Amino acid sequence: MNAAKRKGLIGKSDIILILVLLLASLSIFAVHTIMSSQGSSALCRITVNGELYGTYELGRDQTIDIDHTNVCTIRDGKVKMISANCPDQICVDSIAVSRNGESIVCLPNRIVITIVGAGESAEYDTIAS
Amino acid sequence: MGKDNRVQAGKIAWLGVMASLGVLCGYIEYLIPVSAAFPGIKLGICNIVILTVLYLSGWKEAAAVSIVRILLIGFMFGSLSSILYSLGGTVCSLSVMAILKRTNFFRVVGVSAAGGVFHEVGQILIAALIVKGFPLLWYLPILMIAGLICGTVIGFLSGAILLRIPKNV
Amino acid sequence: MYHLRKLRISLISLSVCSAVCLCAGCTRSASETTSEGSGYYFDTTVSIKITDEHAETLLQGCMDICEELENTLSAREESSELYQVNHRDQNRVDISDDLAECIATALKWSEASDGVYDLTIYPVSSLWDFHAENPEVPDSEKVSGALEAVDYRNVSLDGNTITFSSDETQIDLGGIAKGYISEKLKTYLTENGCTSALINLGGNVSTVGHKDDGSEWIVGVQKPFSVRGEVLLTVGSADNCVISSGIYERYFEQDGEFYHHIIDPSTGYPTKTDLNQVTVIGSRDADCDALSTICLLLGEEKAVEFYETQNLDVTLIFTNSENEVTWYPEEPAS
Repeated sequence: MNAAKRKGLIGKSDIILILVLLLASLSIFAVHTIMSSQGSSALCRITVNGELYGTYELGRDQTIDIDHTNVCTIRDGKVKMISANCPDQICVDSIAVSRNGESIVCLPNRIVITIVGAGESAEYDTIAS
Repeated sequence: MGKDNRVQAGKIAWLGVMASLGVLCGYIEYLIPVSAAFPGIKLGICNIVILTVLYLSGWKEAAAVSIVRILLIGFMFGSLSSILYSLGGTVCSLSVMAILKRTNFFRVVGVSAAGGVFHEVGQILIAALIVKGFPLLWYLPILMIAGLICGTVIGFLSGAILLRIPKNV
Repeated sequence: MYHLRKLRISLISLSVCSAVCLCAGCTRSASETTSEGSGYYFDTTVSIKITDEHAETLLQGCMDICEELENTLSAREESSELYQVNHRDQNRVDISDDLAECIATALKWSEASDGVYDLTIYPVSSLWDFHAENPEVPDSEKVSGALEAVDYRNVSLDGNTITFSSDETQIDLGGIAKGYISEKLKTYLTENGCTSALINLGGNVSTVGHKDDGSEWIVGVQKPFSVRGEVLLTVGSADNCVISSGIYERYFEQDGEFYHHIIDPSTGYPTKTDLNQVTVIGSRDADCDALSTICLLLGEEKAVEFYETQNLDVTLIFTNSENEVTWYPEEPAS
């Protein structure tokens, strides 16, 4: 044949393609950086039974149904457990969290919500109780 | 009839050799633990084989070799999730490469580079499905650029191989 | 043609260089990593943060230790070794090293506190179920009946052989097991060369070394009867444990009366104490865990006396019923 043999391995169009792809990657990076600098890049990470259930941006107000057992909300960059089907309701009585290292635990349903990537850190690394 | 069968057998043998080469490449990748340090990033050596099959036989054959390769490597060195990631990456990258090749507008290096990038895109899509949401979005450009670089290098290598293999194997 | 070739060569070398840089960049960052994980043992959450070259392996090792010790020290799990000991056929039983060591510590503090803390509380404590959906005060006759079986002097330990002088004696390591486990985890991590880790075992905090930035770990102390996560004060800790006991952890109300989970071995009912919480900072987790319960049971004044007679090398933080804080012997200079 052969296409490659006839024309060589790389042509003008290939170089353009590579440049376009490079540009595309960089622009995604740029858009993401701008977006996260506008809002906050803070995330809440939810695990159920030690397995990652999902990661959600604190910058966007939302209500999250966790495994049909618990419901938490994100409002004004703070996460709060609003309902749970567990007997003790300790998670619902927990403080709204927004700073790095803060967490809400629902022991009966084995759910842990932790904050990562927030600009502000909690003044402690963990809580003794 | 007899000749047809012989052609068929020859093709199966050729694809078999290619699939095993693909597995071998996968093993070499496994020995070079790039992704242990930089999750998600692979050198994509296997893509040399896939590109060769794509150029010499066609996209259907390339897809078959890819799937065999992914399943074998997955069962030998990986897990269910690594198989899923590979499948997502390959579906995405092979479709893009097949389409680009078909336009007759690009050559091996361009096709390979695009394949490298879209392999990462496919993996991120799978990751997004598995962990729900797009927490890995910030990581995508890094993966894409890595895929672009690796894909370009792989493109040159594959091209060099294609120059040396006669079309009618 | 020549130009094209030159371009090709430069493109190839550029690609190779970038690829090499990429690889070189990653291998360096891989040497020390921080791993965080959580598990569920003993009805509580265990969360551990480790910074080490082999953080993942160590984390798994810690979780394995928790599971193993749960199967040894839990009085409520029917499969555990302690359950088997409590439901024994004969009063002389050979037990494992871990159980023996933990019982020895519990026995030591039962003796030191003259039964204010008593490891044989199980017949009574098992009547109180604070985990139930609607907890209830147990029948008073049952409580007084069970109370007769509570006496640490019925237990004697010789090496790995435990001897009970009464059939009814049953052991509850609730006030000490978590501390024993976190101490084990700390030992395991230290022996494996780990220099930075934070362990939170159901509210018992234990630290290995300093944070990865070289500063002390900062431990917040839960404010009693406030929303979870509201902090009363913070303390710095390096290689120490911070262990709180409080009457706010598990409680319920019935007929206008307040019932919490710290049971007084002399009455069989929740202790009447002038304290909401006692926090103990020290180096031996199991001892600190026992001490936090003892001090809560004693009340502030007697706890201070106890501290003086025992020559303890720990720092106490008393939180009274108004949530006012007193340090003893004194607040460390920060």
